[in-house]
Amino acid sequence: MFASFVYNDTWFALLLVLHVSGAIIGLGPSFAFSIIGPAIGKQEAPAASLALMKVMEKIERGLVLPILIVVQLTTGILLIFNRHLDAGFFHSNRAWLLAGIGVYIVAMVISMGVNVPAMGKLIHMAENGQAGTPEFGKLVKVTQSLGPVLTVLALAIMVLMIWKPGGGCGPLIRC
Amino acid sequence: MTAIDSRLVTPVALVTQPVTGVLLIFNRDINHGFFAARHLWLIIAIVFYAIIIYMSYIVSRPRVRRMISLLEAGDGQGEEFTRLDATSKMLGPIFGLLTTAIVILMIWKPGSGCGVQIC
Repeated sequence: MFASFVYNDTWFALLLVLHVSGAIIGLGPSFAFSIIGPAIGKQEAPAASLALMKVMEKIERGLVLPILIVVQLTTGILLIFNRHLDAGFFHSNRAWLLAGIGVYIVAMVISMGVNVPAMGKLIHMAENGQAGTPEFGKLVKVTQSLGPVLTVLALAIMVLMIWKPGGGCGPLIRC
Repeated sequence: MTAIDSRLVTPVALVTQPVTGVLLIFNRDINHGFFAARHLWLIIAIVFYAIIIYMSYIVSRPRVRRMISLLEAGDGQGEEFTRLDATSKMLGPIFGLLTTAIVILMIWKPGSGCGVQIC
């Protein structure tokens, strides 16, 4: 069964559609967050800031993380086996893939370990009238500084996955 | 939403995608025999893209702007706002479906004879 899966073009097309769609849906909002994030502190009404934070958290928890964790991880692993990249996985011509996975792990740790909990705490504090406190301001700065970092990491993943530097096959898919 | 639209979606959808798309067509020599059956996937995808752009800028955008002005005027519960809100909710899934169709066509390239390969 596994032998028929390797280099199977129907599976490859299906997995690639899911993987690229996942990248668009999962990474896309991080670019929008770089606009929404700075807008939070510029709102005149605290309710408007709270609404923006809730939108960001809902998109992150309900769309971005499930896709990046479930869809991208599953289709990514299946694509590795479908393209038989598991053979010589740690070879230098797979450095683009290893670097891409490494950047993905860093982005996930930052997002799940710091950004999402900070956003949840900010919402909780804003709902309890602690929006002006120094701790609130510190958390806002943390989330605002992480936004561009996550955007750069998302861009790095896309460049690595498309360009495949050092892969010896350029942006061609089959190599 | 308007900030995301004007600073992110519009520049990418109206500048980056058409420019890189046209350059890719010439780079891959797809301009030769552009209307041949093997390029049907691309033509359909371009039509879907044109539909999205039309619906986004001619249908959706004026409605969203009207909704914002109604909200700013404190008329967020009126009949007009409810009607505009219903239209916006209807357009969202249509944009999603058309975008998904474009992604599938651009990756799968059905009928191109080269599958998911770049060719």
